[in-house]
Amino acid sequence: MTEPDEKESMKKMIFGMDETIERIKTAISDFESGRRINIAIMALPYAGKSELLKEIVKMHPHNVTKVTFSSIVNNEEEIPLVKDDNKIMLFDNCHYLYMRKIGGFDVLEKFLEMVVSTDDKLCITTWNIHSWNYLNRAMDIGRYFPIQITIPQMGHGDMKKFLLSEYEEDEIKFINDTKIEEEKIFRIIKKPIKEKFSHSNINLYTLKINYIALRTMFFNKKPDETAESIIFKEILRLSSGNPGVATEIWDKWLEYPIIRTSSIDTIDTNIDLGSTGRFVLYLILSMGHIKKEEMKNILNWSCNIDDMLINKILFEMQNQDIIMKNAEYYSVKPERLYVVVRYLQNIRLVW
Amino acid sequence: MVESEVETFIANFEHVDTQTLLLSLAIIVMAVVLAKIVAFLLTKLSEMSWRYRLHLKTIIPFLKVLIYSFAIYYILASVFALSLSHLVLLSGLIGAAIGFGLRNLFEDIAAGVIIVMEKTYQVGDRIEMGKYYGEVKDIGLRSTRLITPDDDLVSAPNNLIFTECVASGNSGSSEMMASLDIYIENDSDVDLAMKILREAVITSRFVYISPTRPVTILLNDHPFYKSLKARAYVNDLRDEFVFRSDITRRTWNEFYKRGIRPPKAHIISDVGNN
Repeated sequence: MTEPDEKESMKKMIFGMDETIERIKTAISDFESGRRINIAIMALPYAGKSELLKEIVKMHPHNVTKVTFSSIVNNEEEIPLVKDDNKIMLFDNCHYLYMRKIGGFDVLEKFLEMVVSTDDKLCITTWNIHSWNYLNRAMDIGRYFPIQITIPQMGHGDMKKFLLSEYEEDEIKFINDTKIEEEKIFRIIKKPIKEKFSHSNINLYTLKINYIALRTMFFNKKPDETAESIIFKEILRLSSGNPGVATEIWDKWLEYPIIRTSSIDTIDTNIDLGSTGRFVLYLILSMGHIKKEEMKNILNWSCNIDDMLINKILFEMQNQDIIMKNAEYYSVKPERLYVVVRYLQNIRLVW
Repeated sequence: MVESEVETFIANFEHVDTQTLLLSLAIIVMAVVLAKIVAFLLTKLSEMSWRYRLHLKTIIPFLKVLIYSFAIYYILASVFALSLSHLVLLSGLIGAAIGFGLRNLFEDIAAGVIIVMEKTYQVGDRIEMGKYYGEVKDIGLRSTRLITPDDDLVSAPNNLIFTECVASGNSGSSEMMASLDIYIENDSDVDLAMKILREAVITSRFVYISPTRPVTILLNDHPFYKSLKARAYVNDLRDEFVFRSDITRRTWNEFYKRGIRPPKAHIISDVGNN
């Protein structure tokens, strides 16, 4: 059984971020002794970067001011001026300070100017990793933040501990209810065909490949593997070690107190989008969540797009089960996050 | 010794019957069909895997050369039952044939092998060869096929590499540099113009930026107007023209909003005439 303190920490998304927290602590103590180095923390959505900032606030409750950007900041006046006496400034979701359009970098430039001009303050910022990669290549923003921390992915053991941290030992029952059949990978299929002229029957033979069995043989379950191991392996694969995504998948599969192997949804979404659709998907991924109006604002400059086309693209993406709408915000479905990342990496829209 | 080899060689050819010829023809047809299938499958696969498109396409000419060479070797060695010394003798005859009239054909084949081995250009590259410009669709043993921007299929003989300069825009990479010029009035705010053009480039959905693929904006001063040159890499070379068009459209939309105008038409034409 885990110790109470350890358990408390596991419940939070910062589980497994000890090294990251240590680097931030060192930067803060360096700052207190007169050496100021700004920090950029990068991660994908759901990876726990906001939780990490909360932890920093908890570590220095009287020295920290936290600013959270929750949607795109359109003009410089919306950047909160840093006037209070707190020496450590935390800026969460800094990717909302730019838009990928002409004139869309003015707010970010103003913010960066503020970051370098406030000599007596330490700025700790968080960014969507794909926005950061884009801005770093297009505007070289890495120069403003000498310490760059990418939130690490969880391993198999950590993921298991993290997901089970809320429960007592043996509280969750893992059940393997998938029928394991001795499936053949290659099968010869005989197709009888009636020949037109002689009216006789002839057989056509074709080779059928069972791709699921082939994949299982190479990558997955051994016959004697436990249900628990199968489930955690699949969660780790689908979430790529992202705790937020893993939690979403876990919650979806769990029928408390039972989790079954038959709940595993192994179908990887096949994304099929046109050129503008891909760019819209990139915008949604790189912003985390974004309003339709904000998308339209960027796309009108970038693709000369109209309202009907953007509605069609969003509908298409919802149909392909890759995005979801929450209130007026669109975001990538957690369980499809890494499928989307891989798709956009493959066509090099994310770098 | 040599005389007896020649006699056997001639005897071998005298014994060639219709069946041998048909068998040879069947092997050639099979080689062609196999080469086509391999090329089709690899092209299909490469189009599915965008990232490794050019890498997969590079293999196609190699495999074709391999298949054709094996087919020829098989016909000569197994069907015609020629020994090594016979093959040497045959190559001598081929040499004579080249001298007498098939020079161009063999020059094309030799150039085809050189293109494949030296990778002068590869399938998927954007090249300029002679007066033609386009994407290399196929490198055959005799000719290279290009798809021009106007979607024309051009067959250029491989031996052009011996006589013409060949420029490859991407040499095996998916991205390639695209540059474009924009002309503005002499009294324009050039700092603003350069900022707008730079932002138009870096926000384009077709752009690719990396430490080795930077975006460069240059200003040139002319007597009666100024010109801006943008140099950037298009993510997929097939989007070269849409990339240019996208940047030009958005730049001019913003220029007009900010009061930046193109030079008067007569100035450009006057300068052009001079």
